[in-house]
Amino acid sequence: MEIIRLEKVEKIYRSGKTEQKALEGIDLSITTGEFISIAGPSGSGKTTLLNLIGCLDKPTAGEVIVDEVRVKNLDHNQLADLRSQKIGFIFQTFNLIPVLTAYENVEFPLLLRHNTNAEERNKMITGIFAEVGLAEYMHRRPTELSGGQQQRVAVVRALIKKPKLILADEPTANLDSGTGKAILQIMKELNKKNNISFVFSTHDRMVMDFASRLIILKDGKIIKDINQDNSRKN
Amino acid sequence: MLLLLKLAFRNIFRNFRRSLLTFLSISIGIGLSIIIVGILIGTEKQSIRLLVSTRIGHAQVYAAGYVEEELTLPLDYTISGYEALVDELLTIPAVQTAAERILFPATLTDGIDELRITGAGIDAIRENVTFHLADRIVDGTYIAPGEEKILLGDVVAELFGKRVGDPMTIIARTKYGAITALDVEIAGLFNVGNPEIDNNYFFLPLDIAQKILEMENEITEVTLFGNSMDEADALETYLNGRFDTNIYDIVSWKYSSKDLLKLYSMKSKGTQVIYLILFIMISASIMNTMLMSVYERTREIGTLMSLGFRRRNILSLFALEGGFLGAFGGVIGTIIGGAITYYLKIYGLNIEFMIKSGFENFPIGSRIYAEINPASLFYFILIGVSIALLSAVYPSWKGARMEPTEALRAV
Repeated sequence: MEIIRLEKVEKIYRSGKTEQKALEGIDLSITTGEFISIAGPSGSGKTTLLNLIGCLDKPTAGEVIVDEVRVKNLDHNQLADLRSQKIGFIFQTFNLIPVLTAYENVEFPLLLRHNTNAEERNKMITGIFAEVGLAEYMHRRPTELSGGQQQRVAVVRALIKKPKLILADEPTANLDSGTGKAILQIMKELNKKNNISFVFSTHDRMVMDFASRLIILKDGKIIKDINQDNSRKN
Repeated sequence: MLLLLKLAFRNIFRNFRRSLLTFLSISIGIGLSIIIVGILIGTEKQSIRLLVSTRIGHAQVYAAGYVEEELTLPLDYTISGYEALVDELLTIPAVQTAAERILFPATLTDGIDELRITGAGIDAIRENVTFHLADRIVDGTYIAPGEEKILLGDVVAELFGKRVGDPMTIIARTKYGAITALDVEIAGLFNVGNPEIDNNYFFLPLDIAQKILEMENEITEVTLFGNSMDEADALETYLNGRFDTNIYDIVSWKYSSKDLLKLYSMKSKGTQVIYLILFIMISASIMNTMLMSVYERTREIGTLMSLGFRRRNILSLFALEGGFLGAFGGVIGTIIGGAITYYLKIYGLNIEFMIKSGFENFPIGSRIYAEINPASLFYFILIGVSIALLSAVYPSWKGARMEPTEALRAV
């Protein structure tokens, strides 16, 4: 089932009289359960593309359709609600809320959705922490966790609300290769188990190899879109 | 909402030193405001009470037309046959005491120095019942009818270098304008605690004053006390209904202290400026803290937005942080300010140094006692919270209008 469709998407940043074309003529479709890596050199438009898919920004031209909802016509509040319901985010710098414990960080998206009671939330959160091996760190603040542990909490936070799609902007860039690989492994397992689509941007060859589909951007355009599972079979 | 409250509460402890400084500026501002208000209200009430208890009573009865000219202490508007008037006043249940007087402008001299002063001819017994003057004698004795003796303020006596038993001469004009003089002896020195009286009045027996002023059986005023200052207006209304207003001017203490009340009203405008400065200081401190907080947490704002936080949630979060700071600062400032004001209400503040430097005639003692109204303290907490919330509006709005992508790009 298609959850994201981009049609002739263009994104131009304007600063005074200067224009910077970040994306041009992007057509893209993402279906449920895909594990996609977006690669490309710095400035190729990876983060811009993730921002558009994640409804953090709107395109200058073209259409972004998230789970059959056209983003162009939504206001700030509707976009916030769409993100809250359908999209999870993982950031390069983890971006956990420092005044909340790991448990509370994960509880945060559930509280925003108002559709679970305390008992249900507790069951969900303790279960998922156990799943990623962080049960004993649940009540620590982010500053009391290592980078790898923080990123695992961030993965859990993105996943807990069972979104249609999780976007990760260079999720392993601030981690050593072993920890990065472990995080990717967790993401892959969760992807298979929950059938949630993952889209992550990266420079890292090892990360690219993990993906089942690799999209390569250059100068704001998709220059390659490879199904790596098929390639590996061949 | 609980989520917002939890986040806001924890965020204020994030940069503890900065929050502490903001909290202190709110506490000090609110505390100082309470103390200033307490002292000013205390001063106002105390000086009016002093004026009432030593000079004007709760109400005064004059001859019609007198109050228009009262500043010159005219002898043209007099009450004749006053004994009957005083007796009638004393039959009224709402009137507790009454004392008749003649106030007149005089010059007091010892042959070398002279001083323009107000003479007060008094019925020694009624004056004592009404104003307890005999209790205020610090040296010598009280006066009695028929004695050509005066009571002089201890400050004036010191000015002349005179003591009890020394002679002085009163120079005045009679009711008909003729200059008259009388040699008197200082019977006693008084200190009533009201510099206006202590520095500017002398007392002599009424019959002696009537004799030198050619005012036999006449007086210029009857001063009376009712049940309380609060009931003085009702008493004034009653007396004006009972007595012929074509014959008498009857006024309450509010009329007689109108100049003082006007002065306090002007002072209260000055106080409002002080408040404004204090509140601007508090406001600037909160705004600075909140703006710093917004800039430091820009990426966090982006993260919150990516998680589904709406703009109004961001606005509420920062406003709540400001509100918490205002509430904590307001409560602590109110407790400390209230405690200090309460201390000043019980033990007073020594202001002798002020009295000796330009406030000699201000109707207040050397120690002022603050006033504190527990109910009004609640308003100071509200003021703290309101200022904090208002000051947080701009930084909060700045945080809330950020675009998520810009916020997330922040380093």
